[in-house]
Amino acid sequence: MTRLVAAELLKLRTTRTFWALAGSAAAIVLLIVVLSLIIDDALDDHDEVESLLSTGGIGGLLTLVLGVVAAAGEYRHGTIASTLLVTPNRLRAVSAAIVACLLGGLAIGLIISGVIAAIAIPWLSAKDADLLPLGETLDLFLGATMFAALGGALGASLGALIRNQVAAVVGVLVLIFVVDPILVALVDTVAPYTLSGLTSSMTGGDDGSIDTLPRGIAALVWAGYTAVLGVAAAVLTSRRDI
Amino acid sequence: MRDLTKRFKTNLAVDGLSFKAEPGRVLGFLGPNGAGKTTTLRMLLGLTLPTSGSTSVDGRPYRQLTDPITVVGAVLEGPQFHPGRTGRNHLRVVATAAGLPRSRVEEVLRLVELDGAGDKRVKAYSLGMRQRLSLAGALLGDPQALVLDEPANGLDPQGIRWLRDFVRGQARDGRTVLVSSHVLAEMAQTVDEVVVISRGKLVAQGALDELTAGVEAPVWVRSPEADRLRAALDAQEGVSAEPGEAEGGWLMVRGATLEVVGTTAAEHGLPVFELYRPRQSLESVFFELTGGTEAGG
Repeated sequence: MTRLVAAELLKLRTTRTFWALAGSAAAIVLLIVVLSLIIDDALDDHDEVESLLSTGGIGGLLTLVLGVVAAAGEYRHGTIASTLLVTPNRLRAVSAAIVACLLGGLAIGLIISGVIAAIAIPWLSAKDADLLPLGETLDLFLGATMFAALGGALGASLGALIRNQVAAVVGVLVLIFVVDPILVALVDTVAPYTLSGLTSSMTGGDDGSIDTLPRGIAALVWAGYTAVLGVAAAVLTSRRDI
Repeated sequence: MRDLTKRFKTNLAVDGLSFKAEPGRVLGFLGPNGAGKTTTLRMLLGLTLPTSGSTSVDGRPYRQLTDPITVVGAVLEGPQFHPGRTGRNHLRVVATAAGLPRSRVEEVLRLVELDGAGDKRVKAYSLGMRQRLSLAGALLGDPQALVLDEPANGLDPQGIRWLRDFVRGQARDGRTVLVSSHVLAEMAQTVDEVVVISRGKLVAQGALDELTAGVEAPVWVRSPEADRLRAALDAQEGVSAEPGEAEGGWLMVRGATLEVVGTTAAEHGLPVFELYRPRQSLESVFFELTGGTEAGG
């Protein structure tokens, strides 16, 4: 399994998609942080600083796209055939892709947190703004990084299941921005379990409008969704013609 | 392959096919486009599921092989590379997944003469280079068997010649080679035996010369006295001669051997400038066997 994950990581590293997404994620976060710091002079409020330092939460959405593009891209480019010739066991092949995207997402999450820490903290100190306690700051970064990693994993399982890059990306967006709100409107108790709800739980971007789960539980639920989709992808792949 | 059948919705792509490839031999798998060759090979490799019947490599279904690429290497038809990845990196991915050393990647790149282009992105490769990269991938695991689906597609005459030598070399080394083609001429000098399919069904199987032996080719003779020779030949039981299309007194004689035609001419004192019997062309046999039509689809 280790060598399969190594091969999947090599796949990620050897195309421009991964580097472009990592670069865009870092650039977007950099832009938001710098603009917030320039525009908002005061930034003396605890919540404002917290919200600034939570910017990394958007990384998870980008790694979700990364996972989808990487896994569904195998079908687009036909590389899935050589993948399955080496690893005929579909569950192992799908699992390796999910783990690799988890690690790729983790790397992007760390880069983003690094960018925020390197820019925001010295800037805030220079402004004499109230910094959050170290523990709270680290906790925000941990949440964002974890979300980025889990985003990559869920994206990979979705991509392997849906197989069409565009359909899978659109599917994720529809799920988050259409299905989630409708579900919540119908049955409000499901809110913490929707992708948006879980995202809030993990990244600390809770706006108080919904109940959120503890972060660990949210991560487990998210991982559970990934596992269910991954197993479904493996089962379907073993029954489908490539 | 045993009783292999594959149905796509209403289309019966492969219909009760059974055959076997032997070590040290090149088995040509021939048929017109759409005859079911690719579907058959993909079933062998576990990429397509048979509707019924079974395939095995080395006695086991492909999906149950441990380290399958060390048992059988495959060249597939159609796109199979990420255009933005370099050839070398493509092979490194496969080698890593199979637990093969990096040095093996360099070896196969040299073997297919792509070592100079290994760091180019695949989108900059010609069709021929892609085919060779695909071959390199098939050879990575140093397998005992090779399955090559239309490996000559997109190759220039030089490339086809290179491929022939390559395939012969693989068989000489004791490997089993199963190679499909819809262009018989590409394979005629390369294969030991052939399996011919048409519309998913086996239509012929055996050594090439056995296949061609069944159909008698006419004898061609050129004489300045073509009309008299024609009359002399026609007079014999079971022999028919007719003027050839080309100028210069050519006759096409059916039902007679070279010896009969030569002796008849001598007996009548007729001069003969040329006398020969072409080897029955593989194409015509192929056309006869496959009904001379493209199955389509």
